[in-house]
Amino acid sequence: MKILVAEDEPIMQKTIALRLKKDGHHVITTDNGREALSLIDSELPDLIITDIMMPYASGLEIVGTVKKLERKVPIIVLSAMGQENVVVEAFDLGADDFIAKPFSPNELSMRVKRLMAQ
Amino acid sequence: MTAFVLLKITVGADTLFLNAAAVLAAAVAGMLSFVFLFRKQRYLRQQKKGAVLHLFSNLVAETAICESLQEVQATLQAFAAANGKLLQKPFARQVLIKALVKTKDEISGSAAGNLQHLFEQLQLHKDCYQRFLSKQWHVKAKAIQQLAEMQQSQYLVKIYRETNHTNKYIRTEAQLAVVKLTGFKGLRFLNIVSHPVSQWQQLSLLSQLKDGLAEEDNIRRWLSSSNSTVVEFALRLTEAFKCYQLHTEVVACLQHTSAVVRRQALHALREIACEDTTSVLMHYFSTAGKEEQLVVLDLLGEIGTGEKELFFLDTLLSTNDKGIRYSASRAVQQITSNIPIKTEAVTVTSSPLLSLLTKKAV
Repeated sequence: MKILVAEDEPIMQKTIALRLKKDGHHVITTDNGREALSLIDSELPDLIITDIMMPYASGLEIVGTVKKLERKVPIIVLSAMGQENVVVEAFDLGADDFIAKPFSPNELSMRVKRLMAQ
Repeated sequence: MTAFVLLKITVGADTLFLNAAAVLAAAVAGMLSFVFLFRKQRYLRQQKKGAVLHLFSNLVAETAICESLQEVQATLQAFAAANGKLLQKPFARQVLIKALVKTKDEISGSAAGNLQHLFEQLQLHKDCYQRFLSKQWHVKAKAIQQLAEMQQSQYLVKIYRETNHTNKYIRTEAQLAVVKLTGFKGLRFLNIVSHPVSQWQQLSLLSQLKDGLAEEDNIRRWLSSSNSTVVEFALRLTEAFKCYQLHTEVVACLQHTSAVVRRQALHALREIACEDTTSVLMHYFSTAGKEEQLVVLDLLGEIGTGEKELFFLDTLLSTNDKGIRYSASRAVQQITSNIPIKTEAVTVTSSPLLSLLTKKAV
């Protein structure tokens, strides 16, 4: 399974990537929204995990763009506590799941498994 | 002779000018060199920090996903075997502390526990404690924040002593830290704090307490504190934790000298309203200031349920004050829209007063 992780905080990005690699996934990472959008076109990931607050293009823009694609790609949105309005907006745009920081990498792994099973 | 004197003056002036120019040039060159060296040093320091951070970010990420503390230990040993000397350097240890604290803030569960274990294994709390002893307020405040984030309860007593520190930043970090470490019990600093607890600090403390259990006896004591910001915070606690038992004490706060406390008491009453609350509010209305009167009217609209409130509001519908009149009519509308549901059993809907007031309010 190819998963794109868009997260601008380097340690969090590494932690998520390592956890998903441990589950046997192929992980592509980026620290900004613009590169994430181009990787979606070039790498054709099976699932996207994106932070909401990112440089150049936000997680919401990524959700909006991906949901316009013909290919259905599930998206998990990462948000900070207290960003309920943004999370609602992300769901309106078509996000499949969200996880609020602070979160457990194991929980994220479970959510990925559940989404992939669907 | 005159020509000779003029020539000498000219030559003298030239020399002076040249000397001044040389001094100026030397000063500029010195300044440029200083700026260059400063920037270069800063650049090198940033490069070094970046390289160290890169190394540690791998360690932190690998530690976070470990499935047991033994695995954390093994990860640390493998890292120490390759970078043992680095872990001894104070600069590098500071970088690691910052990375651990920042990451722990964003993850939870066993991953957070792993990071705390790593912090303790490397005895990084001792580095934090050294900085806690610093005379510089910002160093001390940061150290308190780090010790609390990494759940180092062994420093609780020392941190608690700083909760009434004269420096605002040290004090607020210490207050947040004790609450982070011990929950509601940490609020006992409210018994002794003599400095103001800012509104921002009150909200920060509340957000730390959102999952805790309120201790009403303590809140009761804080409601009569001589520090008005403590009273204000106690009212926020009463409101957030819905402490119905404190209704009498909250009502007493309506007579407080601080307008902020009085307003906060009104907000608290909204959450802990009982059948006496509207009577208290109507009685309070005549002595309250304009702003508080408007809040009272809003409250009556929200919690009022019967004719008692409508009679009172009726007297305000003909007042000269536009704001009061508007708020009173809105309250009447709110109450009348509630009555058919709430008081059907007592047939208030058939009241002639009610229909009259509804027409007036509309």
